[in-house]
Amino acid sequence: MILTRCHILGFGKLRDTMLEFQSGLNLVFAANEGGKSTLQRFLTGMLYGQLRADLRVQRRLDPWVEHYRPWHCQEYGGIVWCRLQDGREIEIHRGFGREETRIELRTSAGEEITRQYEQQRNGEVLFARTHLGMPKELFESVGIIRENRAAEISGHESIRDRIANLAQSGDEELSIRRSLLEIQDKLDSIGSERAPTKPYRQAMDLVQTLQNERTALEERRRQFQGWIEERSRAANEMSRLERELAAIQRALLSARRREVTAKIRMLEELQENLFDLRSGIGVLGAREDFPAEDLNELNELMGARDSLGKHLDEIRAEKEEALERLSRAERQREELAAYAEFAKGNETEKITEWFVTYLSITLQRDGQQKTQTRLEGEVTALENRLSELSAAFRNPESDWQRIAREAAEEEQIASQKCTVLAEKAAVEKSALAEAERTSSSRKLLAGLSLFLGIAPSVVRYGFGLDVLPQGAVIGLGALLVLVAIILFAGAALARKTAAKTREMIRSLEKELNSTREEGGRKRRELGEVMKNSGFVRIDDFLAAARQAEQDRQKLGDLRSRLDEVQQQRERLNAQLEELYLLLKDGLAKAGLSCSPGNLKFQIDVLRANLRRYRELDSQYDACVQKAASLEAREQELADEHEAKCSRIQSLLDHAGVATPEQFREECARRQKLLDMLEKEASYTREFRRLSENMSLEQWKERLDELMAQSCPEGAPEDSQDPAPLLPYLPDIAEAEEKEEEIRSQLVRAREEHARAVERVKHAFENSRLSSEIEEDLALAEEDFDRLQKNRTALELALETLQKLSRQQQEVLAPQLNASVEQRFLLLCNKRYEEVKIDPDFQVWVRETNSGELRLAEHLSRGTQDQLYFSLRFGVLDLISNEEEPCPCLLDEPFAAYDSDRLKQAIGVLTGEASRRQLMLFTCRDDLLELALEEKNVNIIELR
Amino acid sequence: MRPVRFVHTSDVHLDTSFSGSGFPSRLGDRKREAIRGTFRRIVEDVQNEGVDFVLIAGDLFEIDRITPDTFEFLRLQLERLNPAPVFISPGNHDPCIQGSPYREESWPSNVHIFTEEEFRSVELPDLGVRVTGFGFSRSRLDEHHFERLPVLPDDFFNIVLSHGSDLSRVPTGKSPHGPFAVEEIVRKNVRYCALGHYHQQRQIPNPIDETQVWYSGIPEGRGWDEEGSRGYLVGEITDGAVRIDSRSCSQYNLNTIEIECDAFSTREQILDAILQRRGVSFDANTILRVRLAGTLDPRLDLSFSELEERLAGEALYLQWEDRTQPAHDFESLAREKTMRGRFVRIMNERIASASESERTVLERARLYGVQALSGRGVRLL
Repeated sequence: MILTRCHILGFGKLRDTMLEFQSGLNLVFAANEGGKSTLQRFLTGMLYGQLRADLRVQRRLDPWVEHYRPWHCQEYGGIVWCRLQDGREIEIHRGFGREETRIELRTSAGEEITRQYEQQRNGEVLFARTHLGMPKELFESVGIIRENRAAEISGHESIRDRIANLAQSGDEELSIRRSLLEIQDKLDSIGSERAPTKPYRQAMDLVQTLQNERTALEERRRQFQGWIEERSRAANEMSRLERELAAIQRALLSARRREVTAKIRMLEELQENLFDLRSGIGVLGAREDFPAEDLNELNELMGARDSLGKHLDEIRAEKEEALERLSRAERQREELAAYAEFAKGNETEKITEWFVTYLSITLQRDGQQKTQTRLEGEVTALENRLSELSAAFRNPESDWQRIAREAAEEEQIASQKCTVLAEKAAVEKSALAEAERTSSSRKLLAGLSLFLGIAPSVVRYGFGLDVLPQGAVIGLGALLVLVAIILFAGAALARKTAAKTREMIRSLEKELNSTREEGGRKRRELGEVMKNSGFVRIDDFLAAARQAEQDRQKLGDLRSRLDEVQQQRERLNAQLEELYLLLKDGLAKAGLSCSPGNLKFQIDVLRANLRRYRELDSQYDACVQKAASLEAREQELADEHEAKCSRIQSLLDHAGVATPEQFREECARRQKLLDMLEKEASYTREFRRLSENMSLEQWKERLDELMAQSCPEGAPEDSQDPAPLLPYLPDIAEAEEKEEEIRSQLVRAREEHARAVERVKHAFENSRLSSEIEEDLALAEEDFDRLQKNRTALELALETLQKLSRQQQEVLAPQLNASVEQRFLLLCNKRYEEVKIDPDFQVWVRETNSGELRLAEHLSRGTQDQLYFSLRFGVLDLISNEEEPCPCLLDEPFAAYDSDRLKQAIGVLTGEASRRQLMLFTCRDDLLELALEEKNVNIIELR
Repeated sequence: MRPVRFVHTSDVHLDTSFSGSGFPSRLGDRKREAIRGTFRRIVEDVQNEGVDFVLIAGDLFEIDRITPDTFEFLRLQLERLNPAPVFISPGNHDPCIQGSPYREESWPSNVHIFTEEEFRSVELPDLGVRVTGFGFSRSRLDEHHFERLPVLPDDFFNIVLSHGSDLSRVPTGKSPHGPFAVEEIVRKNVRYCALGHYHQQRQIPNPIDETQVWYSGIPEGRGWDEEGSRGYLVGEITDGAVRIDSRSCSQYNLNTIEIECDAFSTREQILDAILQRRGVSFDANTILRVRLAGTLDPRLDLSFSELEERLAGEALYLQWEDRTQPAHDFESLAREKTMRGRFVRIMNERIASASESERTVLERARLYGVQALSGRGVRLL
């Protein structure tokens, strides 16, 4: 890029100033405070703008903007014209002083091209950066070469460092080594897991500690859940045992109350019983010496006597009854005396047999009667049905089946004949057509021949045209006329043949019609009969004819069957008459009259009376035997009864009582007395056992005490439920044993519950809340993560930079070596012959005379200045864009140079100006003079 | 008939952890105590305002974190409400599982806990109200449990109490436990549906019938997505209609203010910008998050500890979120022919091909390297 001219509208002290530059060396001369720095800043500002380069988004003005506000005018800015390497000329318009002021770029033709350049978010258009390949701050450190300050380098800040800085960062103030050290310091400040006092390890330890704490708490929480369950289980167990204890205690109290109450009741009953017994003994007045041992014998005798008396009464009653029955049987037998004969003989069986035969024949006769009636009904029905038939079916001689068959056969024969005749007629018709066609074609050909025969003669003689010779015309005409005559004759013959054929066809058609007429005659007659009988279809008509024929045959059969039935019936009536007379005689012997209507009844009466007579006869014999046996038994019992009565009386006399009842009463009183005495002794023993040497009153007092005791908690006092844990009412001993058992279990359960409660209560006593741990852990992890990321990032940056630095050194040092050497050797006026820059940016120079290598640090200040000057150009070569050489502003770089060195420097600058545009700012007159001596130097004087 | 009043709250999250919000445990302790205080305040409001019954729609506590002390606190507070019935429907954070405090027998007699994953009804005949509730018995419920809600008899004013997620508007990052659509609740004779799970207080639009479906919201904000004042709902049933009012009850509110740093070149300017929002966006009881945005002047030394010292007492707690963009233009720097340019190019290439997790570290490495090469010192993030 070459700056060709500029127009300063207002910038510091400069106002409305036009300056022209050339592509090579330009020397801007001015006295101190003459505006050199102002122009330099103007040019930098025009190229890179007024905004701070380190803020991409914000529009913050560089500090110099305020400093260079125009002194004498309002307009702050200007125009710079430049020419790019590709030949394009660009106008740069800028205003300064306000944040929103922007650059405007135009081509030489006036076209605005600002938008063609990249723009930063704060609005800055990156024009110079795009073309020169370096940002503002880099241009300011590399593109502007100020007075050499090598002399100010001191101590550790060796020239080597500066070279390295310039070569690597473009800024001699910016040390890569220091940058690396700073990153390393930061890394060290974070530390690692091997440095226990550094944040990294501390954060890691804290995370580990908190994780352990959280794990412990989680474990404790799991235990806590178990303890909660244990506590609940213990509480449930305790509650259950308490309920059981209350229940068993209630059962125990209840058992005690029950037992004491029962004892009191029993003692009271015993006491009462003793009192009753003793008073009963007094009242009883029984004899202890009464001969009670005879009671059994007496009772037996009494029993036997009473039994015998009762038996005797029964036998006597039975005998009376037997005699009564005997008398009644005799009377009844007398009433049926007429049947005595029947009972002895077989007359009855004969009468029965006749009656059975009589009944059988009666049934047969009735059956015949019914058959006759049914047959008569059927005959009448058939006669009616035949009388209702149409007239065609009334004549039994008419065989309609045959007639129909004959009609069909005739019709079929006629049909066959018709077919033959029709075929013949068809043959004749086709012969007729052929004859007619032959006749027509022959007529047509004859006409054509006639025409062809006449035509040549007409042409020749009518029109005078001599087409053919005359002989040929006549011959041909005669021949064709002959042919025409022959054809006309043929046509007439064919017409005659056609007339004959037509006659034949008519006779065939006539014969065909008569055959059809004859063949359908019987069919028509049959149709007529069917129509008169009301039938449409022949099948229905023939079916009806068949039915009529069948009905007539059936009627004949029925009439012959009816005659047979009537004869049979008359024969049965005769047999019945004979049997009736036999039966009437038999019944008359038993005194029974009969008629055909009551014959069965009378036979039944005969048989019933005979059966009755036989029963009465056997009954009479049995009664006679029974009466005799009863009489003998009566006598036997009467003797035995008398003996028993005598023995009873002797026993009563011995006991001194009158009746057996008195004997028994005395025995009972004596036995009662003995029982009461035994019971009294037993009661007395039981009372002593139950009272346990306590009086009844003492027992009552004890019951009152038990009743005063209340039920234990948890069990309603009025509850009737004795003890839910036992399926029965326990006694005191059982209840006491159970109570003891439950009580000991409850003590153990309470202890266990108390332990569980205590454990739950103090579960988290020495622990922080899980939430607290989680919060601290989250922060610690976040902090550790941040440190870890920073550590990794720093390590990465350090590693990358170190690697880059090594690469840079290896690549840059030789490049720089070449750049520096070619300039330095010109400057040093052949005192040195070689420059060497090693990869550590140590600079060595070889003396021409001695051939020794010397370190740059060991050179004179002036040589160092020269070396530094060469180095700056070398760095500019390295950093700037090769395709677009960067203009270089030199701000009094040779302040410490003497006139010789100044001359050499001008020489170097002249050479340098061939590669890039140089703007040398100076106030030195000697330099101006040297420049004036040079031909290619553009001198700009600021006034 | 006199109006029936009830309180609807949920998502109290007693003993919760604030690890996700980046609170230190000392602040977490204060905030947990504040949650207890808020719950105590709700109980006092119930006592003072003659409320007839209380509905708690889940996440009353966090089952993994609850301590015996908190359970005792809860038991005592609910006992204070006796005889007013308290209905609790366990949610995903306090499911009624084995070992849950809900299975303890020492709850006051006025507390009814819906312990089953079925809708069960409790009738309050004196109030003419039937409360039908559903309890989570696992910490994840993917089923549409409202589909199992039967059509209720219309003889009482029906209230349904449950934890659940309205699928029509699932907040970002919220798991949809107990998902449902409002169509699953309506046309079942339900007059009011008390819900928990979403921490934002809101009514779910119901275009179908008169059923009012409400999330009561969290009564004390828990995270940065729950900023501002929080509260609970008070319902009043009059002649079969219910009117819902919101009550504020939170103690320590969370708030975030964003400070654009583009125009600032000193720390004091940031401080002034924060203090300008005092009284409007925060006060001494606010847990304040200051989000710094924009591009930070590289010359500005952003020392948070110093800023915190200067802001001490202005807010309950200060959290910084540095979202400022690095001042460096890495794309431009990459074009330099210097070592810095080469370094940025290498790092840019590595960043472009790096995974998401590696990118953060690589970007930091690039920043630190450029800072070191710019001679302004490395400022660790």
